[in-house]
Parts: sequence; structure tokens; C-alpha cells
Amino acid sequence: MNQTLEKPDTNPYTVNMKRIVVAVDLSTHSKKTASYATQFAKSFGASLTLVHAFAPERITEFTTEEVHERYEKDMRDTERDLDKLAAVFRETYPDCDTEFRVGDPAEEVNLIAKDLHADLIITASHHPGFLSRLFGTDQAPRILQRAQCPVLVYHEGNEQAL
Amino acid sequence: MNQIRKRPATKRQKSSQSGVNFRRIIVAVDLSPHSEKTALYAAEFAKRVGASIRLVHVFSPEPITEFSSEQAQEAFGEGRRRTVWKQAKLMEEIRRTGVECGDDLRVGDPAEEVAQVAQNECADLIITASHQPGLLTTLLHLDQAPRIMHRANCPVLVYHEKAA
Repeated sequence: MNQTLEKPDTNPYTVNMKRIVVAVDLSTHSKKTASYATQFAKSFGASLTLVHAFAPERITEFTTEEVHERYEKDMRDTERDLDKLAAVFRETYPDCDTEFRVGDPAEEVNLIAKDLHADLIITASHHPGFLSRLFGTDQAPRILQRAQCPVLVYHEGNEQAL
Repeated sequence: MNQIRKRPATKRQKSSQSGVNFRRIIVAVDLSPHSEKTALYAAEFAKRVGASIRLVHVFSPEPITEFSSEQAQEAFGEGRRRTVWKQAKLMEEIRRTGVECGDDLRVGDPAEEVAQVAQNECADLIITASHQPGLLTTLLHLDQAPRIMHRANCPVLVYHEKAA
């Protein structure tokens, strides 16, 4: 038999960009990151999920009801801000939703990425100084360490990439 | 001649209308099996967005001291020749996917050099591999991805194989 053995098209590295998770802390730079992510999602026709993780409430013996109420209000306001941000991007790219969580940002972003079977996480990074590295305030390296899918880091100063 | 020149321009125009305009992607490779997978992922990525690739590998500076024997220097040279051969092979593999690909071999600090190439080339993206770091890797800065991330002037995509 004169059979030609052709390699089946099973490239394991096919870039199947269907869902992108974007970590936002609602800072000005993270809004620019979300804007970049929207453009990026358009390039691939992927759906976008904007994720914000709100810090858990620290309850101590000195926590008054007033403090608790302020925390609840801050949380509601932040959730509203996230929805507003998504609404802006939905005007140009409708395939965009939100996830609001309470917890550690790096942990929550990765959990959502895992739950949604995300193909990419996009996160902002602030060029960190010694102190922010010491206190772990730049979340990008922490997200990177825990990620189980590719991670795109968008820096402050990357705006010209748009 | 003119037709060949026009083709990539059409691709670029299309991608700029519908998203981020990726033209040049720098792919940092240490030529480990995982970084080779990263390069093939980058090739697929570049193909999707109509970009070209430059593979960058950075050699550590030659550790020549007064105590370096001729044998040690030969072994070092042989290691470099093997790396050059592996990079050329990888470049060929990427070209076979239809993606325009060049390479750059540098000597120095990997993160500094990759960031420098990206800046010189006005790259739109750097793609690099990350090895899930343990405590020692983190302490000894063996994983270059976070270091590249902090030095780069353009977005950095760190490739992890997606968990099953």
C-alpha cells in the first residue's frame, strides 16, 4: 500500500484564546490595563471577565458597628465602580462581565481563572520599588507565581502599546 | 516583489482595526524543553495576530579566571556551540509555521538584555517562560520571568502550560 503518513494537526500549542480574566484594582493604571485587555480580547474574539478582589474585613475587639458599616459601604461602592468600569468597556466590546470577590487578590484571581478555564490572565504591574516588593503590594508577581495559565503583565508606561 | 511586501501590511491593518496592533514579538528562550514549548506557543500567537518573532537567548559571560583550564574553556565553548545549534533549529521550526522569525544571541544578564532588545526593536510584546519557582529559585533569582517583567517597557506574556 502506498499510504502517506501525514502528521495529524494536533498542535498542542494552538492559541485558543476564548476567555481572558483581567485583574483590576480600580486604580488609574488598572483601568488602562482593562482598556488594553479589551483591545487584546478583540484581537482574538475572546470573552473578558474583569475581576476585583476586595480586602477582607479585619475584625478586632475594637471594631465598632460604625467601622463595620463603613467597610460594607466601601465594599458596595467598589463593586459599583467595577460594574461601571465594565459598562464603559461593554459599549465597545459587549462580551465583558465582572466578578467581585472578597479575599486575597492573587488567590482570588487565580481561583476565578481556574473556575472559568481561562486561557489568559491580564494584570497590571506598577514598577515596584524596594518597599512594595518587601510588602508584596505589587500583585503581579504573586499572580504569576500561582497561575496555571499564561499571564500577561501590563506595566505603567505601556500605554503606547495600545 | 511588490506583492510580497504588501501582504504583511494587509495583516497588520486588519489587526489594528480589530484590537491590539502586534507587529514585533520578542521571545526570550533559555532553550530548556519548557522554553521551547513557549517558543512554539509564541509562534502560534504570532501567526494569529500577524506578527514577526525575534528569538533571544542570552549567554552568561564567560567565567574565565586565572584558574580556568583549557579543558574548562573548551567545554564552555562546546556548550555555546550546542546552544547556537539548538536556537537555529528552533528558529527553523518556527519558520515552518509560516511566521517570520529572526534571532539574537547576546552575552550578559538575561533580563537586562531581553529588555534592551525589546526596546531597540520597539517590540509590542515579550513572551517568556516561567518555571514554577520554589523557595530556592526565588531566593537565587533563577526564574527570569519576574526580572524581565520589572525591566521591560512593553507588555510581558509569561507562558505557563495550562493546567489540564
